[in-house]
Amino acid sequence: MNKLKQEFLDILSSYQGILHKVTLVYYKTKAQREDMFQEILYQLWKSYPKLKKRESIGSWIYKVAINTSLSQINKNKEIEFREELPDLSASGGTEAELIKNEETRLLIEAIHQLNDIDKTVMLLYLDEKSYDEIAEITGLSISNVGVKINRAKKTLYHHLTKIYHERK
Amino acid sequence: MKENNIQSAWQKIDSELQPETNEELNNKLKLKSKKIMNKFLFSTGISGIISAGVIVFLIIATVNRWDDIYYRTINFALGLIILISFGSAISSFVFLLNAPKNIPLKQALTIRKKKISKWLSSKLPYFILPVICMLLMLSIHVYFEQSHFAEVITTEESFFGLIIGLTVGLAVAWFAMKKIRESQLSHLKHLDELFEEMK
Repeated sequence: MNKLKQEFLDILSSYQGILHKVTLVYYKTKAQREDMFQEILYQLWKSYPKLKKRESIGSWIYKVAINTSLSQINKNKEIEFREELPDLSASGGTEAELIKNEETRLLIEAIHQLNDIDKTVMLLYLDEKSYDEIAEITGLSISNVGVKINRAKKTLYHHLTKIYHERK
Repeated sequence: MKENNIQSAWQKIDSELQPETNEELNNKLKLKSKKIMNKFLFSTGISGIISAGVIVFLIIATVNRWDDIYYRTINFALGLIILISFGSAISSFVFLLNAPKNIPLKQALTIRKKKISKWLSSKLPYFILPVICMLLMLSIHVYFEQSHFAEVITTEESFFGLIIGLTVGLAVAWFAMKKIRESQLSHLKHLDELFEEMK
């Protein structure tokens, strides 16, 4: 293994949580998440030699992971449409097998009901990114980031309440 | 669930995920690189083999019928269109593969939207595909009739055969174009939705 690849894998192993969280937010089945994890890994490796600011590795990973996921979502929607309802158990299960904590599972279920941009904003907000960082990653203005976070939070609470009532 | 609880529920994900070793990450990277390379070779390989096959046929046919100026002109035109179309298809495919990902989301979506809109607004593919189909059928038909282009066109039996063949070929070309366009329109619709959600 060459030095550059070793360096890349060392960085990735400390930041791989971002990749898992991004795939968890956008994709429901284990098979889709695994495929997307590999796709993001490949895109990161491709753009790694061009990475200039080594201090902003987190933002770089978020940008590549989010752009890659959103560029593939339409293809996956087409697959789901053709197959009608995807058999979640057959394709490797949902987040229930991955996440044991009940509250975390409900939160992910509620996030799945948000639209794609709200999912993106909430992902970054929950990962405690500043408004400046969210604006840099998404390309939204800082004031719009604030508006979007408040709106997405309200929708998320609404979905969470609904899920709680359904479970009771 | 309150705001603090949401944050803490989210943070728990890190402790629940099984971190992968460098070796596992490297294996996944190798696997994906191999898959992407195979996909690239498969997509470009099939169209490349077909294009090369047609070009070889055109060269042989043209050399064998060098005295037939109409036939020679058709084959030259067809060869040129195929070479330009193949080159342009490869460059679009490479562009999509190498589209930058390390840029803000809005910028990445804008680049993709521009590319798809440009492709959808261009009328050239609707013209090129039927023209290729028509010239190719004409070239093959005239070659196997073993007579001059002008003679084949003026023979009634041959002319009707050609019309039927052209109709079928154009229907196939139209269907293929329709499918590609539908897929691109669906991508554009998804991009428009994302832009709308960004407001």
